[in-house]
Formats: sequence, structure tokens, C-alpha cells
Amino acid sequence: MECFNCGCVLTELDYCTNCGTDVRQYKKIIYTSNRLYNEGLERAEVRDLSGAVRVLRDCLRFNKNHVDARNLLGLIYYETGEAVEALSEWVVSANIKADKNIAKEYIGIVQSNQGRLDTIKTSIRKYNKALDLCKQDSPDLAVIQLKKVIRLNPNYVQARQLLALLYIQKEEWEWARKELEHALKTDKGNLTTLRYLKAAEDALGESADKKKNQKKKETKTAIYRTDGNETIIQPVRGPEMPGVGVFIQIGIGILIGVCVAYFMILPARISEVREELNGKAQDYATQIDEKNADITALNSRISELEGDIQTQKETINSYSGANGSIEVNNNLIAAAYAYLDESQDSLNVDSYLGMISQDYIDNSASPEFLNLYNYLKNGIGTSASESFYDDGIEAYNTMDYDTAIDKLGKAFQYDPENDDALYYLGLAYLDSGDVTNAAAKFNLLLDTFPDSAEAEKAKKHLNEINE
Amino acid sequence: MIVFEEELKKFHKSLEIDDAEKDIYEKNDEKDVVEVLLDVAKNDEGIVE
Repeated sequence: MECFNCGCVLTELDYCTNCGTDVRQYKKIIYTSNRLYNEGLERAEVRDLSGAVRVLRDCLRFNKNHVDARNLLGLIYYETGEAVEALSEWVVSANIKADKNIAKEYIGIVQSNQGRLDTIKTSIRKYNKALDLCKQDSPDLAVIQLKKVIRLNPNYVQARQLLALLYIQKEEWEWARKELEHALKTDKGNLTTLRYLKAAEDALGESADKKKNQKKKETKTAIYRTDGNETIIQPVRGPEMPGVGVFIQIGIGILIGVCVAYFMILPARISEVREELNGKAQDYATQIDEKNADITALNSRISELEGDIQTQKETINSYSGANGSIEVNNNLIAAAYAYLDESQDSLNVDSYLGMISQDYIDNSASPEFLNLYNYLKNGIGTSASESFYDDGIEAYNTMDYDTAIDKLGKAFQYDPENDDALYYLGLAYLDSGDVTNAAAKFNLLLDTFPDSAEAEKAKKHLNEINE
Repeated sequence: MIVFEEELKKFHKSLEIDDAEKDIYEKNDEKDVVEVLLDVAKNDEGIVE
């Protein structure tokens, strides 16, 4: 024993030899606590478990750090089916003393067996439910629950006592006695068990006496009476042989059983099945929601891909259509080939270049394309201009002014130094009756080539137009 | 004589796993006679001082 003040080991003296504290009361408390533990142990050894629990609790009231008392208390709780109480005691014990404490072993054993732990949890939950059912005046359902509890946890003393009490209430004394005898095997000193057992046995004794008396009466087989000198023996009607009545009673019994099953067990079962189905329906609903979400995501993906396809189609069309890149490039390639081929003249080159739209050149053509295009255009410039000029003059002479305007326009376009082409272009407009364009071309000629021979002629025509 | 209703009142619910933690804390916080004695001893010292 150690001093509560300084922790020094105490001697037989009434004070601590180290700090001088008076330890008389302390020693008495510890001795009392130890005595109670010893008594608890003795009671546990003879299976007076409820007595042991009472004494061990007292022991812990004196000294809550009495590890052995706490461990034994836990063990008794475990034995009587109160496994959570047991675990609780062992955890506190392990907390008080971490090393060399068997409580840790106990906790480990219980926790390592998950199946056993689940069984304990279920049995305790069902017992508590049964107690509620008793208080809600549903004894039949409580009996069903308690039978399950005992099947799961046969040493559960409280459950057996409650079941016995329900049997006593229904005056099913034999069943009550059976349960109580089982309970007594676990806990021999339980006063509640003993009290209930006595009540059941008393009731069974009374009914046994009644049966005995009834039997005696039934054994009289004849009534003797004298009539003068004669003795008349009147036979007593014996017990009726089992016949139709017995079968009717069995039938009624079966009917009652079916009714009990229908009105008590079936609703509970229906409720369970309904809950199960509801759970399944919930699961399916969740799955459907998930699938719907997937479908929506896939639909939006399809829309995106359709958009992409449309864009790709447009791109392909822009390459392959009449004014597409491929066609335009083909024309440029054909123009380049015609330019290099000596057998073809510059007008062929111009015809291919003419197929390339001005819009494409202004907006879509790449720098490389423009380089080649301009190179070809400049390359054929003078010779093409001459060819167009000759054709234009020929058309002008035959008074085909539209062709003359087209050809002479091109001649000036390919060679901006060709003042003759510009002059005859003005004349072609004038002779065709388009005075405005004619004046514009003559003015251009005066501005661009003021010293040329054609400038004088142009001036005259302008004067005529203005007059 | 066993009176069902009276007997039923003596039955209490068993401790379930969910309640174990609370029970352990309560057991740790319980005061035993040794602690009461220590309190008394401390008070006496205070008075003497």
C-alpha cells in the first residue's frame, strides 16, 4: 500500500514514514475495499453473480482504482450477457493501469471476434426493444423478441427473467420455471430469479394438488347403495374416450395459432418486407438518376460532336467547292503550267488566272499563293497586253465595241504603260455611246501620259464631249 | 405474489455500444471514498495554514 500524499510505501504504522501524513483512515478504506473484493471473488466462485456484482460495486465506491475488482466485475457482466457493461469496466481498468492488465486481453478477445460482437449488439438491442414492447402492452411480441435474444445470448439473465415474468403473467408456469432454472444456472444467487421461481413452483404445486384431487374423484368407478337386502352397484361413467371433441379442440387450437400468426407475426413481417422493398426502390431510383445523368451527358456530347462534324463539313466545302481552295489552287497550278509550257500563249495563262476570284485574292489567299499569282501576272504582263491590244483593235475595227472594251481594258491592265490601249479603250466607249466612261478614260490618259501623241487626240474628243 | 406492473418497473435497459463512451467517462469521473478523504485532508491542511 502506498501513501496517498507522497506515494511512499506504507508500513504498519499509522502515519507515513516519509511525509508524516496520518494514514489511519486511508488504510481503513483500502482494507474495506480489499475485503469487499475478496467477498466478491468468493461469491463469484460459487456463482452468486448478482451478490458478487453488489459487493464489487461497493468495493469500487471505496476505491475506484481497484483494478482487480473492476476486471472481475467486467467478467461477471460478460457472463450474465451484459457485454457492453463488461467492456466499459475493462476500458476503465485499462485506463487506470496500462501495463500487465488482463482487461486488455479481455477487450482484445471480444473485439477480435466481429461475429460475436455483432451478436452481442443485436441481442442487447432486441432485449431493449422487448422491454419497450412490454411497457407498450404487447407481451406476445415481447416474448418473440426475447426468445430470439436468448437464442443469441443464452446467458443473458435479465432477458430470461423478463421472459419468465411474461410467462408468469400469462400463467404459463411450466415455461416460466424452465427459463428461471436456466437463469439460475448462470447466476445462483439472483433474488429476482429465486422469487419468480418460488412463485412459479407454488403455482405449479397448487395445480398439481388440484389434479391429484381430480384424479381421486375420477378413480371412483362405481357407486354402492343398498336397497333392502340388495346391494345395488351403479357404475360411474368413466372418462370419455377421445373422440370428435378432441379433434374439435385441436382444430380450435390450430385456428387460434393461425390467427395469432396472422394478426401479430404477419404484420411485423410485412412491415420488414415493406422496408426492404422501400430500400431496394430507393437504390433503383438512385441508379436511374445516375443513368439519366449519364444519358444527359452523352446527349450533350453528341450535340458537340454534331457541331464539330458540321464545322468540318463546312471546312471541307471551303476546300473542295467551286470557289474552294482546292479549285483555286488547281487554277493557279494550271496557270503556272501554261506559263512554263512554251506551246501555250499568255492568254491561256490569263484565262486560268481569270478563274481565280478577286474576293479570294483579297481575303483568303495565303502569302505564298499571292507571291506566285503576282509573279505569273507580271510575267505575262507585256505579251498578254499586246495580244489583248491586237484583239481589241480588231474588234474595234469590226465595230464590236463590247469585245473591244473587254480586250483593250485587259491590255491596259496587263501593261499600264500602254497608252495606245487606253486611248482606244476611250474611243470604244465613245463609239459605243458610253460618254461617261469615255471621258474618264481620256482624262486618265491626259493625267498619266500628258506628253504623248494620243493626249492631243484625247483632248479633242473631250472638247467634243463637253460641247 | 408477483405483480407484473411492479416487477416490470425493476427492469432497466441494457447498455448499448453507442452509450459505452458516455458510461466510461462517467465511471472515470465518479468520486470514491479515497478521493473524498483526500479532499478532506486538503481542506484540513488549508485550515491549519
